[in-house]
Amino acid sequence: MSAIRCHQLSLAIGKRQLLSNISLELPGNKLSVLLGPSGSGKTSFLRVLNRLHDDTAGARVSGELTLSLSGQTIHPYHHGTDPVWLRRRVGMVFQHPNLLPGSIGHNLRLPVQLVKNPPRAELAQRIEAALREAQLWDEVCMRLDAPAASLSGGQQQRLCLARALILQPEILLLDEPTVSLDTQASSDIEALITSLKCRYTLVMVSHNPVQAKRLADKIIVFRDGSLVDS
Amino acid sequence: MSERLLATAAAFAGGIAACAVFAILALLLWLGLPLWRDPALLISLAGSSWNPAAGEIGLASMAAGTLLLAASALLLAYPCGLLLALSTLGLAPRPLAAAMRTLLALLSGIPTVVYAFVSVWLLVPWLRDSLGLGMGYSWLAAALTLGVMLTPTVALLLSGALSPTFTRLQAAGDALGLSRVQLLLWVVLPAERRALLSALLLSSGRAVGDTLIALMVSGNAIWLPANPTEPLRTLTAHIAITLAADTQSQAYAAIYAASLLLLAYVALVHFLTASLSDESAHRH
Repeated sequence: MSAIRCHQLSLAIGKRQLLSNISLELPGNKLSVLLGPSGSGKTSFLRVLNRLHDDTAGARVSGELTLSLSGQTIHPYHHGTDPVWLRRRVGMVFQHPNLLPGSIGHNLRLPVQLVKNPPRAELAQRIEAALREAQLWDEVCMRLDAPAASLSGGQQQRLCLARALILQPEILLLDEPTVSLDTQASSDIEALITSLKCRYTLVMVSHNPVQAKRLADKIIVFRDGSLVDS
Repeated sequence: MSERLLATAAAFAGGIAACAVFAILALLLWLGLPLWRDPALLISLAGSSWNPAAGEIGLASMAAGTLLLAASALLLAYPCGLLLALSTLGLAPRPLAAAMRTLLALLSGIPTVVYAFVSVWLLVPWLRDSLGLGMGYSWLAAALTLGVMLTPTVALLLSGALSPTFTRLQAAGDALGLSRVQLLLWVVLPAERRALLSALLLSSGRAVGDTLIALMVSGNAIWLPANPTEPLRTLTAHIAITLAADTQSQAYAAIYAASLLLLAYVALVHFLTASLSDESAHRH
């Protein structure tokens, strides 16, 4: 069953056309990899899915986009759809770890308190579960109060993944999550992504065809803002 | 080559600025020599009684007036400035935020005397005639005027201090489904506590240093006001009033002590702000 469907989806920022007439379907609870050279529109497409272009001056999205969230069909660009609500269900991890200032624990505690506001007793359980899911618990359980910036690059990226997972999204967008990491950290993240794909709908950007073939259930190739192959 | 030239020019400019500060300090100390040599006058400076004919040149009530006026003006300007800064960063819709930034820049460029003049014609009569608060010229009138005058400056200062962190964290906040208010209040402001304090200190320096509003609106009575409806005199207004009427007396000599007090306050603010910036840079 498709979790993401788009028909003739286009994106322009000012006079520049970044995406042209993209029509595709991405399966639920699978990993779809968006492949293509730099500037081909992969990240732009990813950011269309959770309306991250909303605050970009001059950005215009046209065409049809529907997401299947909690069994309902959601139209992200319809007037009634709140982008904040949408982004709480469509999580995202960026190319480079984008930490909040503060400790490891704070990076998980603050978003979940602001978004879900769980009871105090449940909070610690959620933090532990998210860190275990991101395979980081054993490495940080004794130092949750340490600055998040003190973690290695790979650990920071897994923390960002844990931070996205603790909000219990249904779709997770991954924008080249291994691009800034060394070989070992990359393979740790890849293993983690593989373990997550049966529980979440994952859409990952990659410029590495070998990695895409290794991980993907479906590969979509972009070039010059258009779809080449899917 | 051009980098070395720039570094030399910057060092030269910094040296000139430092020399100017030390020259001002030396000049004040030198001009005030007759005062420093007279122990009775020196002791009198610390008092609150101002009667130069009797050898009483106490600056305490004016120093207190300066701090009272600055603090009360900041009580208005700082929260309003913070709210405006947050609005320009993302609380307000984008076109409104852009218009607000332009308006704030315009307001911060209006000369102080214009604020004071408008206050003399509008605020003072309103306080006097409509609310029946004495003559109208008072601590309250000066605090409101100074507060309004400081608000755009505080807003621009805070906006500049918060903007880099907000820009850096905006994508992460959006991706986590945080609203703009949540991102600003729960992430950006706590992360920039030191910048908030620095902005407060810098604004207090501006509030303490203001002369024209205090001179034209505060009533200039040399006493410690019992409530905001009473007049007060600040050190800056005192210096301006004394300079306009006198050049030789002990009262005139006391303005050097008043100037040194102001210089000491500005230096204290500078060192506190610099130490906060250093700590912040070290932390990042």
